[in-house]
Amino acid sequence: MSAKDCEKIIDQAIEKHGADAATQAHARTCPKCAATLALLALLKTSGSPVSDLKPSAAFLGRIESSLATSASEAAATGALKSKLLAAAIGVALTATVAWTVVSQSKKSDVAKTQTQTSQGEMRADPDVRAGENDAAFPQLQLPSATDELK
Amino acid sequence: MTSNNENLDSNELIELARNGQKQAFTMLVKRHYGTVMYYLMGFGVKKPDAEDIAQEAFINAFRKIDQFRTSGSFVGWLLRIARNQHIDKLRKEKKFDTTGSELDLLNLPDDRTPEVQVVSDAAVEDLYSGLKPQEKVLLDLRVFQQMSFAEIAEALGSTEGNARLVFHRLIVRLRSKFRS
Repeated sequence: MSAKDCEKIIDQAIEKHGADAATQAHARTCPKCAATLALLALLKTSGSPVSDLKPSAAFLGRIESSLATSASEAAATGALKSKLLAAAIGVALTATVAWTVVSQSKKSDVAKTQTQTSQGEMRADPDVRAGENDAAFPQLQLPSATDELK
Repeated sequence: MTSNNENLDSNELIELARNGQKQAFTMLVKRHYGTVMYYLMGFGVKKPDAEDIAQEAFINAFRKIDQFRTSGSFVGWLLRIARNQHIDKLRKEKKFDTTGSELDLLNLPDDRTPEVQVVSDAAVEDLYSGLKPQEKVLLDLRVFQQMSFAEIAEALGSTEGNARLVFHRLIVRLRSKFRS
């Protein structure tokens, strides 16, 4: 096996959480791979080389207080958003109601104006004379005062 | 709550953090603090400055956690945030050089801070002593986080070939140290 194949075996050993049967069989015949697999096993038991740096209590405290601030900021932003949304809905509702009321009153005004106009028109109509259409309506025949005497 | 969180894997912690559970995010901070710190110190940033940048990076990560896709690597995402935070800081200080944006893992300077050198030199028997910060990060990402070379290259701002080459040279070095 070439050095490239040995590299592949290292990759496989890392990615598959350990060497498979074929890799182990090769490692028995290749001292370099055997040493590498043993090294990887040792590294895994020793822990990560970066784990010697641990966050101090002060660092974690600063992070936690910043997280609390950003969480409260997010909550405040959320509350503000919901308030704005509620206000927008309120304004829209008020506007709709106001528009409806105004348009209804306008309609009734128009209707009233039309009625008044038509009455006015009738009054103003010079062709219409009082008692002109009297014959068209049934007339109540009241007895005259002289009928009783008869 | 914290003791329960210790047993959870990263994706479970991320889900809890997304639902606003700060303790879950604190657990993620504890798990990845070392990676982020060594990563920043690998750029030659001194430990107190690295802590400031790391703090900002973690807070930004918490704010943007809804944007993180669980199919990707959380630590890779975190390192990208830390790198952007570091670049922003350099820009503010007008120290950012845009000419060499790609990190060459092969030619890393030994820019360990005196504190890191003291820690490394004190542990002579330790297999990890003498490793540069970026080498430690590379080993952590590959062996412990099991990230692919493509993901590592993206997180470290390098190329896949460069990351692969440096990792295998590192393994050869550690192997000879281990044998001796």
